[in-house]
Amino acid sequence: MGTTSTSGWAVFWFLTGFTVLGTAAIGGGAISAIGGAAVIGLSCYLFRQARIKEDV
Amino acid sequence: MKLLGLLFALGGFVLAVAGLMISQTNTGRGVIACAGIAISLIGSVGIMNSAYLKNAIWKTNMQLLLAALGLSGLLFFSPSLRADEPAAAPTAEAAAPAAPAAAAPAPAAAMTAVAPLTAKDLAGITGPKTDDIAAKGDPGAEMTGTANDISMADSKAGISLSDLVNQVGQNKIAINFVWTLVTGFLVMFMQAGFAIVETGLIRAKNANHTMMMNFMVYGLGLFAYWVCGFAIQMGGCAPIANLGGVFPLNAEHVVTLFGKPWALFGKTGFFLSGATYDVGVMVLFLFQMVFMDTTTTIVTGAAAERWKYSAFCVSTIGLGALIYPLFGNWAWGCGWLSQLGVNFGLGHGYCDFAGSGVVHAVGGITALACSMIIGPRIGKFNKNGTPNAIPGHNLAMVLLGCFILAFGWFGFNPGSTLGASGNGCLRIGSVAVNTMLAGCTGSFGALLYMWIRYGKPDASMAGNGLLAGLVAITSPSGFVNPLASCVIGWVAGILVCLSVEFFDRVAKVDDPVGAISVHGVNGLWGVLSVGLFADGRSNYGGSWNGVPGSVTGLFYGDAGQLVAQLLGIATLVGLIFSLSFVWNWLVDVVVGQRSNAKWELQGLDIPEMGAYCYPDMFQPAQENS
Repeated sequence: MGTTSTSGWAVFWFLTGFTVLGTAAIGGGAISAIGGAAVIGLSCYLFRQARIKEDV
Repeated sequence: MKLLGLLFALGGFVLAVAGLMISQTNTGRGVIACAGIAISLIGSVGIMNSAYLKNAIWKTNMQLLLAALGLSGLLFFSPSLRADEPAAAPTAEAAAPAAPAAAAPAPAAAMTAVAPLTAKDLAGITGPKTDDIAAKGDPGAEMTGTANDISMADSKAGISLSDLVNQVGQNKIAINFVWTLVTGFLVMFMQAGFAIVETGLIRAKNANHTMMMNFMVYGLGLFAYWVCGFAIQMGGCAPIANLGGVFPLNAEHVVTLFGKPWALFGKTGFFLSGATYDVGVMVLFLFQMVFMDTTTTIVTGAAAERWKYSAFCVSTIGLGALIYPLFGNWAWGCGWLSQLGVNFGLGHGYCDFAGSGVVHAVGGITALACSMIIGPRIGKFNKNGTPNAIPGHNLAMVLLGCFILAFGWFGFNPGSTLGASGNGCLRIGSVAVNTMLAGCTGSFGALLYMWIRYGKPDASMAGNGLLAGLVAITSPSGFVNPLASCVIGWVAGILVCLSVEFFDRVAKVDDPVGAISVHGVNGLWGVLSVGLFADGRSNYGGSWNGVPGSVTGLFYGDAGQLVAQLLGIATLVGLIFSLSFVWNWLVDVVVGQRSNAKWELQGLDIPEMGAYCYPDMFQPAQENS
């Protein structure tokens, strides 16, 4: 019982996506924006998976 | 109901701002701002909160409401306020007379005429011989720090006037850098105070979880602020004279609305890259970062004992990256609130010296939004709605934490001058004493309230009273005198007790550490108190927020300042609450804010963190033997 590594991966990908999204402001442009949003989307999927596993 | 409440909260904010266009007088704008604040509060604490609706405070406490309305009316129709009407945008002629009275006189000119220094005066100046120092040392400090230490462009030519002037300029900025950095380090240490106050106030079975939230809020918040928070907040704040100008922070996004510029967010400083790789910007970043971290750590207290750790991580990123920096920009980064004086003639615009509003109210209001979304701890309320006290596990930690926070506050408030040399920065002494006094009166305000009402001087509320006084004086500390500080602290000490009772018994919002009352309610009180008590005697370089003269509150003759402060409050309770609620609602939908009920009953230390904070207390005896 308790939190799982899926939650940890979800937080990792959220931080990564947030960082990539931020680089859009320093010259990353549309690629960074789309890439960052996609990685954040992946983290959202993992958060949902974690909720199912953890029964939260 | 949630959506309707949000619409009310946002509608109140829109009404308060629209008041700037609807009315041209301080009275009109003030009344509309108050109406906006009331509508926002009805939306946020009333309509969105079913427990509150059942209790219907407007029926059971009609006398209290009428008294509050009467007091507001008296304030708005007071002679000093009416004397200032109309509050039209300042004209050049209107602003001009104030400047000479407030401008800091040059010290030399104010006393006697001094003959100008010439290059001839410098010729032949030499320091002590280094051989002497090498042979004898300098125990009396007579040969250290002399002409030898002045950097010269041409050592053969000796000290020039240019060398001397550059050295003086660098020394001034060096003093300010050191002051700002050291006070920033003090504020950083407040994280330790928050950590043990919050942990002391919760049950032992959640101690590791609460400490780990307070520990990681530093890293997560810092990271988010480095990526984009700092840029959004301070990206257009230049120039800041005390830190050498910080000129790379020169891009602000501005829209024109109703013929006035509205500065919304900064656009330089993402990742501290490009030209913002600058010594002055680095000092400013460090100081602003620790302030932001204070905001994020407030929320962990209100949501303690039931907040899922992964949800805490994501929620903190949003607060540090966007919500806090937005309001920070409007108040401190040359944003629209700070320009209310320049654009609409409201005093010196929204004034928040060290952050009762920017730091504490934003944190407290976000804590309210989080608590409402997460819900109360299991066992906090009975079926009939009456609250149960859930005592913390270590009062010694709580009071030690309060002392650490009070110590750190000497960085928080005096450090907000961003310097100790030039532009009225010597007022740091006054700011420090104001801070000290308000904390003191706050603690005994709360102590006496609890003693008289419940028969015992309650330790945790005395601690919260100290913090409430410190929170309340944070905003006015640079603008008020010691007597006003005592009054502000005293009111805060009593207010925190009333507020804790309100959220416990009426609103039914579970806040284990009293963060909403200490930081949210008293943060708003601090913002308001600038508009009442600012005495017009401070002088930070002759102007504040681009308006000549000193910040002056209603009791000293400037009603416009009070209206500007009310607009700040309307923004906090209307817009910032709504932003925080929507963000945390999204986190709730995707990540899930609340931990599993089984985990909560067991205590979050093992299910969430994998280890007890106090293993001896919980593990069976045979495991330890």
